[in-house]
Amino acid sequence: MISLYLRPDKTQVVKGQLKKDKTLFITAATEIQSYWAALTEQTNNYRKQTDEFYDEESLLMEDEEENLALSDLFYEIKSVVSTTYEEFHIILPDSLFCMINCAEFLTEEEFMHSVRAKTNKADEDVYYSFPLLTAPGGQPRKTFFAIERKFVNRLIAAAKEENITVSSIEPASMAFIRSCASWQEEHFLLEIFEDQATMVSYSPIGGIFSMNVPSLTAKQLNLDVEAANREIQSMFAIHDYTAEKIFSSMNVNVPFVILTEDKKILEIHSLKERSVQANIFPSFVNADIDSKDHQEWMVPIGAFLQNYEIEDELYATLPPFLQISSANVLPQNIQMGAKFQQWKKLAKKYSKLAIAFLSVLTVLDIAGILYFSSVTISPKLQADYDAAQKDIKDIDAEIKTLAAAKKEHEYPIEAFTQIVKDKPNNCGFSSIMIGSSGQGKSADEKWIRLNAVSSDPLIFQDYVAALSNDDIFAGVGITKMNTEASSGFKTAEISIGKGKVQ
Amino acid sequence: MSNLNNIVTYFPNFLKEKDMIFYAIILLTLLLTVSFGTSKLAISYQEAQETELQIATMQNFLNEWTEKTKIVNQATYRPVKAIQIDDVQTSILLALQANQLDVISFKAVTSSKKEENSHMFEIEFAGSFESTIHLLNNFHAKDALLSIHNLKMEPNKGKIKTTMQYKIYAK
Repeated sequence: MISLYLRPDKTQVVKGQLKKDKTLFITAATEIQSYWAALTEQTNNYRKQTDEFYDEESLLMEDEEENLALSDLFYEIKSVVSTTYEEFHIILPDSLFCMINCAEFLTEEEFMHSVRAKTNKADEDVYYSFPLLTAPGGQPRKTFFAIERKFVNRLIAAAKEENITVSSIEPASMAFIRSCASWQEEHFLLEIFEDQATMVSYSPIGGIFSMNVPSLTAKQLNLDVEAANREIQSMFAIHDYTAEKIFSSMNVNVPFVILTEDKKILEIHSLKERSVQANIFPSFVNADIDSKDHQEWMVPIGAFLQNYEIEDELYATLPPFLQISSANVLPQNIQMGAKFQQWKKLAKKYSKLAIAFLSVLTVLDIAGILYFSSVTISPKLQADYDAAQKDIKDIDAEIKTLAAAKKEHEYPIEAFTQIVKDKPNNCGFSSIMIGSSGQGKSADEKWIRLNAVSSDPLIFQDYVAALSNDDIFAGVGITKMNTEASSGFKTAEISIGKGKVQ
Repeated sequence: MSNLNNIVTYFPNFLKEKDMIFYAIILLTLLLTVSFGTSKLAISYQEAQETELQIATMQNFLNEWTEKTKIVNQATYRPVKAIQIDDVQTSILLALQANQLDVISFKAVTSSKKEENSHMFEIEFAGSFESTIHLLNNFHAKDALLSIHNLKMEPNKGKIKTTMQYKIYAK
């Protein structure tokens, strides 16, 4: 949100953001030159000063020129703060409003009649708003603001040229009172500019009325201090009398908030006597602005508070008999149009974000698809695999055969070598049989069968003992022993099992 | 809720805005593209996972194949082709002759088990003890895979008579 306070002496520009917790964050607050002349003067002096070729044709284009000069305001704002997707709220000094008053409940016809009578303006020349409806004793009273359409139309046209949609145009007093957030109290404002001065008074039971006081302009007050003192006292007296009449009851000598750039004026005794201590922002406004300067920025910040709902902290002190709404003088159709434009901008913003997001997703999808599609079995791997598949049966069979050969081999040389090595002297063999026709365990138990021959039977025992000590043999034993009748030699049949062979 | 109300309120106005319709068409197109792309991506991902699993299986198989090939290639003796069995027998008989051993008998042994990849033979020969041991110590025929299954040695008329059963392994 951006708010502009178009003052005669300068233009205040504030940018803010309303958080979900209804805290208002002020992100920028700055001042630029005044565009008051471009807004208020019938002819556009602002442009004429710099345009060397200002001729008759240009005069015919006066209105357009005027808008162009005002459009410089929006152009300049764009250079100061980012305006993309922002709502624009404009605040105008109360002196520019042709009528600010409150009265017992009026119909629209009665109100228009009252405006015609007081301002001498036709119905189609004014925009108006009814921001306050108060009924303290059951007697309803309405507050109304009226402004000449030409000012509003100039602003809307100028903003449009810079592709900006204005959401609201309000009087400064209403924005200021709102930013005070104390609805149960009376607020008296005195806006003093070089050539304008306006008193605006708010009472929760009465409403708001204003008085233009040309004798209290900065120019007048700076002429003669003594005369200024007298004039101020006189004006305060008139104000109090008027307020008493309009509000029917009010507190006596309520202090004024003096809104002026000219600090010298604030030193005038009678003004100082009646001025109130400077206001500060409500607690829900978060701004990096020194508290002594808060009052100076309360008007543009008050415009943002239009977006608060009645249940928010802003309206915590609202008396039950008082109804508050915006003092936005823009007609309903323009407000709707502005709101729609705002929604359209937001819709465009989020559409662009969604398009960007979806485009990135699409690219990521494509990248992912391409990546995952690239995961294929390489032709070389496939060829190697196919060849190995063909080969593996033969290899498995060969490995099986190698294992079988190792298992079936009876290691006769190793066995024979050890048998001969362990053989005692005086012992011979009649036969040796290595390997078995048996299967499995029994084959290993009967690995070797040998027939030994000796004259001494004890030799066999030594032989068996020697064989038993050899690791490659196991279960060595004499299974049979005989004596040969012809020679008298002893024969022994020795059975040897398989031990740890290789 | 108020935002929803605003959207409902302003929706007919949006329908009159050409640029908003353009945005809506682009958004819709992109939404469809993303939906299609995402489902396609999911399928591609699944297929890629399956392919990677297949590649891993193939590589494991090839590693196993390499290991087995190494085992076979490192073996000193390997099974021979069936047609080479006669050559192996010839080599064995020549070795007997070279060691001055007399062949008494030679026959093929038919096994009770069905063994397609091996052929059992029984040979009887006689000769000196040294010649017999020399033959047994060098009992091989080139790189053919042989195993001695049974060996019987006994003296006979001043010589050593050896009866041996051996297997020749074939592919």
